Amino acid sequence: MIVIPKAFLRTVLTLELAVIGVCVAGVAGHALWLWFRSRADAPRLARGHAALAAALVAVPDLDQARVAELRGLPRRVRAAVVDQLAVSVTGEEGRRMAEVATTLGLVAAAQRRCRSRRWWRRLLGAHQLNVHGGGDDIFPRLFDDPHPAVRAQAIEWAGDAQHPDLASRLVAALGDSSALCRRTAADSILRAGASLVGALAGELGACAGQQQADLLAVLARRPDPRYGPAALAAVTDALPALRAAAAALLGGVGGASAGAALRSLLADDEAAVRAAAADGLRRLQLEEAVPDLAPLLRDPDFAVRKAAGAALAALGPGGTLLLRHYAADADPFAADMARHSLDVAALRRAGVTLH
Amino acid sequence: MRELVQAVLFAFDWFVLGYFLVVNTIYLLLLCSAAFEMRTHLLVERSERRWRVLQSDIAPTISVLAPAHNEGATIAASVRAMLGLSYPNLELVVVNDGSTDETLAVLIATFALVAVHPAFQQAVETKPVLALYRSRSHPNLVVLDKENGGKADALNAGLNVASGALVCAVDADTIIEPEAMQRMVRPFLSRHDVVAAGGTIRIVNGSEVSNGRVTTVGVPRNVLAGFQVIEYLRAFLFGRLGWNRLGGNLIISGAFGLFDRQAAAEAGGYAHDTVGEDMELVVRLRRRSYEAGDPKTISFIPDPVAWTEVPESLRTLGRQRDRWHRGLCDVLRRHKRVFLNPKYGAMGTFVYPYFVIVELLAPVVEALGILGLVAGVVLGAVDVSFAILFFLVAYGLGIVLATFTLLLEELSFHRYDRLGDRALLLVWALLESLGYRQLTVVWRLRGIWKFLRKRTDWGAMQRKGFSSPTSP
Repeated sequence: MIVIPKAFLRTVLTLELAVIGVCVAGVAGHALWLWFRSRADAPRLARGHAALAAALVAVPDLDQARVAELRGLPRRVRAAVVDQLAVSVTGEEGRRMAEVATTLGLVAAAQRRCRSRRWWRRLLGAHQLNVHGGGDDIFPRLFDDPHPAVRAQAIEWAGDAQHPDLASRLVAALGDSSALCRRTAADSILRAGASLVGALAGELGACAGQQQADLLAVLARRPDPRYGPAALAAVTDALPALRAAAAALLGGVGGASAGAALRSLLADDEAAVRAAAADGLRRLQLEEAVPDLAPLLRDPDFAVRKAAGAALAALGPGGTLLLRHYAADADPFAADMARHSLDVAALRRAGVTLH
Repeated sequence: MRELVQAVLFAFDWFVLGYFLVVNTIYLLLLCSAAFEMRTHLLVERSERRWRVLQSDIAPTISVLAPAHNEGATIAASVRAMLGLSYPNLELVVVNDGSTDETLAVLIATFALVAVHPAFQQAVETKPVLALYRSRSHPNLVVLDKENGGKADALNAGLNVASGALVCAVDADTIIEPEAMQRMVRPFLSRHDVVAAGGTIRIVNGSEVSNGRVTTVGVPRNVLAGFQVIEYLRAFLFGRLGWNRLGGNLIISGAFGLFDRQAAAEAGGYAHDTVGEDMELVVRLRRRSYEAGDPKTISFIPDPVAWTEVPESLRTLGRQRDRWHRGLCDVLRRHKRVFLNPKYGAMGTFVYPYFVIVELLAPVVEALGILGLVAGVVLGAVDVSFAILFFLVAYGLGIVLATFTLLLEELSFHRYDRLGDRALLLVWALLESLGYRQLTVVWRLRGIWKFLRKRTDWGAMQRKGFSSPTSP
């Protein structure tokens, strides 16, 4: 009558018991292994840290005897000691750390990993090269790696390398198929700082459409007058995202033409562009724009009203006067935003920094 | 008569066998998927430099939404702990949901709050907002005072006021790991189609807590709390992690979840009239994305991100579980059009049916299985040795999943670092299927029964409080 044969159930039960046994043994074995390893590693790590610190502080050159001491440690411990410190040192100390890593063979091992067929080995290798240096010949190849996490490491390196020749690589990475790479590219461009400004200004002038909008949006966070001409040209573009990004950048660049362009954008059809223009005028501190900004307190879009309110509050007595006038406006949204902006401005005047 | 009973048992036998096979096949898939996901996660994570996110100008702003109702005694400490989270662009929105105690007064005095005229986008309808406060001492603190409308309403009000690109819904009694935000934001940084993310919630019972932080991790000695540690580990490390690769999750814990603010607001925020508002929002977000032709996903990260206290009494635990199951029933009923509907992709054809067939109906099938087995033995249709064997196989599978999850935890995070704690965890894992699991079946059946009778009460949650280390 019973469908399920007992033999089948017995087999399943045996299998289950076997799996449970393996799991329990795995947990117990791994726990014990970790326990023994941590006991054994603790003095080695302490020895390693002491040797590394002594090697680094020696002048004028590295204390090779202490480096040799490090070499006497197991490879895993050696790597852990150097990796732990390498992420937190820069400048001359960073250069010495890189020398230690090279002497201990960590850089050569990382370079070998970068040539592996396994993506996680390439990723680990690239990460280690980013920490210790020594990847200048390897990373250009990794820009085209099939795995996005590995590509992101190459993009990270390009930002840290700060070489003008790599600007085009970084700009191209803003259009990568992976969000991780796109974000890493934006981050790397911002970290690269002044050394890439000239090259990035050239790239900005050379690209168009969405790519230019993406680049402008990133550069707006670190505006530079050299980006100004391209941004000014973009304010009349058909792409709203490009106009909004241009407005955001012009707010940080300044100049009479930037002010005029931003004022013209206050009447844009797209709310995002109007909001960016209002915010740009706040950053420019262009008091002449107060009469143009005030009507935006009645804008149907919340972000525009908010940007206009913040701009008026920041643009001196004229802006405050108009905010007071609008605080009693028949439009409840305009009145609300005006009163809110006045309250926030009062807090700021009292020295409160708001998020 | 005897023939009829035997025929019914025969059919039932087939049904149970089929159900058993389907469920175990899915479990096997989830098991493999979870192991694969964990491996990938760990391999990527070891090559990450999280400080880069901390120092990055492109890190998205996160608004933490913390609803508070009559929490005058603990609110200052909770807010201080949340303000101490390690993330660069963090805004904390505390919503005082019509407290009748001194919650607001404590907040005003402790954080030097100043009222500003409220002006925000009313993206989601809520009970009236009474006042908006900014802090003179903490630039990133916003406090909203509103009429009482319940947790969902308070979260919706916070959603309206928040300025971050991402919002994080937090239960007031949740302890958040200092690095939780850096970890939780990762899916949003690495994928463009993530609309919400969740992480592993751990159980704080048995651990030591100091200044809103878990200082020493320990396994609870209390049997009920111990079994729940196993349950939580299994649910997060095996269940939710496994779904990452098999069609995406349908649940993010209400205790701690990160959402795309715009998407959550456009979807209408949290539903008021359900006890499963966190799951309901997640299902609605995914459903809307499919309907808009731009499918979004819910990402789960296995990292431990928050700690919560679980009930140590049968009565409180039973109430919690029946409420959870009522919430599940309600959400699955509301979105029944998704069931086996190819328009909703993997969510409609695989994930949602799993939640109906396994998560929702498992207690019914399990109860019927036990009753059928007992009836079969009594009527002589099933011999005792078969019944025992069947019982052992069915519950042995639970132990397999529990011990496998422990292995996964051991090989990945091993947060319980004392050898004694690991041994105790193994004991709880081996015993959890015998007795405790059957109790959860009863509670979940009660939840279904209450749902069918349209009961919507939450039930009181009694907490013991976190244990602090003794003074030296």
